[in-house]
Amino acid sequence: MIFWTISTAMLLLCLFLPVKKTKQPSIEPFLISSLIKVEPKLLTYFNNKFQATVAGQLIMEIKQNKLTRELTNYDVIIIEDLNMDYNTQFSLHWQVEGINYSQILNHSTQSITPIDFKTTDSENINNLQLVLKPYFELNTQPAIPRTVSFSSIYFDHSNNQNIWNSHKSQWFAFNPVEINSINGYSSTDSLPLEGLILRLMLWLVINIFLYFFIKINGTHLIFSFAVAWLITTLPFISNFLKQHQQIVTAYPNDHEYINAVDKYLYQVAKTIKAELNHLSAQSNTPNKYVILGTNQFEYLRLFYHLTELNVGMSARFSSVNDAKQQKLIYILSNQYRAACNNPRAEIWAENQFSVLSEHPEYCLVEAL
Amino acid sequence: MIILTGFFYSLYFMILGFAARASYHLLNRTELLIEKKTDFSAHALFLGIFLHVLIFNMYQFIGLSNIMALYFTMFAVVLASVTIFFLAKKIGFHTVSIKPTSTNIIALVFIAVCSSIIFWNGIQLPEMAWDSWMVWIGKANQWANHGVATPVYPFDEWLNKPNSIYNESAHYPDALPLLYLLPKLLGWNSYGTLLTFHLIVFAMMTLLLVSRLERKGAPWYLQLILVIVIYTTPLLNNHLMITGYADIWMAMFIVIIMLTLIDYHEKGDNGVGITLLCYLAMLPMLKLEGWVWLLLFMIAHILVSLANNPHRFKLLGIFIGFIFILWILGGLHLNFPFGNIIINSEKIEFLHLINAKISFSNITSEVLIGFFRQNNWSILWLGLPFLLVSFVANKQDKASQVAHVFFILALACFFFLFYFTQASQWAKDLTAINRVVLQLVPCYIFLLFKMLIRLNNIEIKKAQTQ
Repeated sequence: MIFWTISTAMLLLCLFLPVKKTKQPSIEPFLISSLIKVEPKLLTYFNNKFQATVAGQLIMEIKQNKLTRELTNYDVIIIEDLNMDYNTQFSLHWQVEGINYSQILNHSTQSITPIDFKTTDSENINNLQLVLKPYFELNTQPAIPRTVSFSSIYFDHSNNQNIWNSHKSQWFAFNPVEINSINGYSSTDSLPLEGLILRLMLWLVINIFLYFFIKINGTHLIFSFAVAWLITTLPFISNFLKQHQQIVTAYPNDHEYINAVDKYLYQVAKTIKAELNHLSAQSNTPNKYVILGTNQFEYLRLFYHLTELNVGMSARFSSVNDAKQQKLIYILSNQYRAACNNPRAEIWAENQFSVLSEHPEYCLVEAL
Repeated sequence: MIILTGFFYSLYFMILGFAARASYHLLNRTELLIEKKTDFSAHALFLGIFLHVLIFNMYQFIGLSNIMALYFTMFAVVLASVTIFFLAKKIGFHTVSIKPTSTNIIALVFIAVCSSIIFWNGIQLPEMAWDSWMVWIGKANQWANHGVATPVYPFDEWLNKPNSIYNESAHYPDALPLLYLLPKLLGWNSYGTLLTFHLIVFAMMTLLLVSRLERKGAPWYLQLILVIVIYTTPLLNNHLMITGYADIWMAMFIVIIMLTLIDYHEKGDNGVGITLLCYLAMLPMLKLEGWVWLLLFMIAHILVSLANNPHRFKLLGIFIGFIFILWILGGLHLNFPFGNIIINSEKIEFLHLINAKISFSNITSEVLIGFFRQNNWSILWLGLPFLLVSFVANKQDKASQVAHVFFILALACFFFLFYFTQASQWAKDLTAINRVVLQLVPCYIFLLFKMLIRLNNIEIKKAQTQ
């Protein structure tokens, strides 16, 4: 009983004690949603809510001449009643002495995101913009118009915020599935659960001390570990469910392709395959095909879609001379495509190949 | 349908593994005793995976076409089924009737629910893991198109060798692509089948972990917490959802090896010993770093044997003397026709397996980000100092000693790799640093929970359960 009384008190203290409560003269929130400069049809105000239409990228500039307050006095940006699908990202961008900075804004209904303008002089802050854009990384249909709504956006100081609201916004902020998700659960730009993890670890260390001092049953320590684990699991499960929504909207009809670029590359590969099969039917010797490309998504996925053929990939053209017994056909796409039109413009391409066919997306050349 | 094919695929491995166990007992003319069916099935599954890779390696060696490989595999399944039938008829196998406890049932339900939820998200995703579609599933695709026996080379060799195919990671081991190949040859939805299959394998591993904790005297709540922790550790969960990477397979095999090693020391059974060797052989067949884990298991075993030797202090003196001589000589330089062994302050070379230049990079910040600040492992790594202290403070049996020494060596090796070699680049971009840790996490979770059993009054409950 003593253990759980002390432990519960410590848990509440660890969870809700503000880390840095700076002495700041009382400061009024600074509403910036009324200072947005954007084409009227892309941002409307209806039923006390702003409705933004996002197809591609929507840049909402903040009128520089209306930024009359000292921005450096503010350390959080708040979006009220944010309603946005899970394949869209909201971010704040600004410039300080020619250097661009950006901050992804927490994706939660009341979004409270800490902000550091990287300067102490407000006059240095230029080009303040709010940007809405879809995730292109995992999305087969990024160009579909989406609606994002919010009631207001304002800068404020963290002292004015309820600590529970701040925590809730940060801990329950959406963390999307990305290609890199497999390496680490979140990127270093955004570590939303860091505070929660460290606070719970501190609480567990206190419990371990209590366990040794009070000499209690080990069950209590195990259950306090379970409580700490469950607290971190709640935002995890909440995020997992949101990720489901993200995935379902990102891949509404099929999940064959990673994103729109991949879908496009599949179509290009299909044309290339048909053409190469036709060429190989005319040839007596087995052909080998090489995609001229680097270790970038565009070339690697083209390679992936062409694996039915005996295809390789190289970033250099010179190795062609090594193979004598087989016909080598190079596939030039993306940045290498231009060499087909004007081989003399590229040092590596001059007198190296004869062009077999040209298409807007790619060309096929035979190594000389 | 996808779920069914996943189950069928798992059943195929279980049949192979079961038949291997049956053959061993047929040869020895001993009765096969199945104590706990879930444990037996889990081991049959893991052993079956090893046998499948071995069989497909054989197909590659003799140059079978894909269609012939399919016929031979069907024949192997029939042969395995006949072996099992033969054992049942000739010698028989004895099953112990163990009534499942309510904890077992809750754990099973929880595992099923977690797997279904992960499947619910995973099945909606494309094959998005980069290494997976380029290397593991990528190679399987290439073999499905060009034949399982077609050799794979990097670019320059591919250009000059007829009847070969290209893959940038041609030198990577073949076990995973071979696991992913068969559903493609059968024309099944390979991604869905593999997602289901590897969720089943992970579930079997979890059941085995729960079973071992139960045997060690863990109370019901600790067993259930283990299941919750295993399935809700964020990066483990992520690797289950975004299927195709090799690290989760390494993680499963490392923990299975650890459990089998403990079993072997407890039972001393030759069959368990052979199973252990098969699992160990699987490590380098999965990933290149498997060689390192294999060497560490061997070193751990040798170290523990030496530590229990009556002449251990003399041996320690000889070892210190050897290190001193090496230091005087400026390192070890041995040249063999089959590779070099070089250890000095500039590089480490061990045959053709390890070749790393030594240079220090401070990656402390990345280690802290990966371990604590990102939500990769939740609060899990807080337990590490306590685990290390408990290993020294508590008396351990030999099997536990090997498990602990392996884990400590693995951690030391991990830190050495990222602090002192060029692998630091993968620490700085926060890629491999998290994935290598992932390979050790199930093993760490098991050791952590084994430590929790030793807390005050938990062992009294152990006596009650027995």
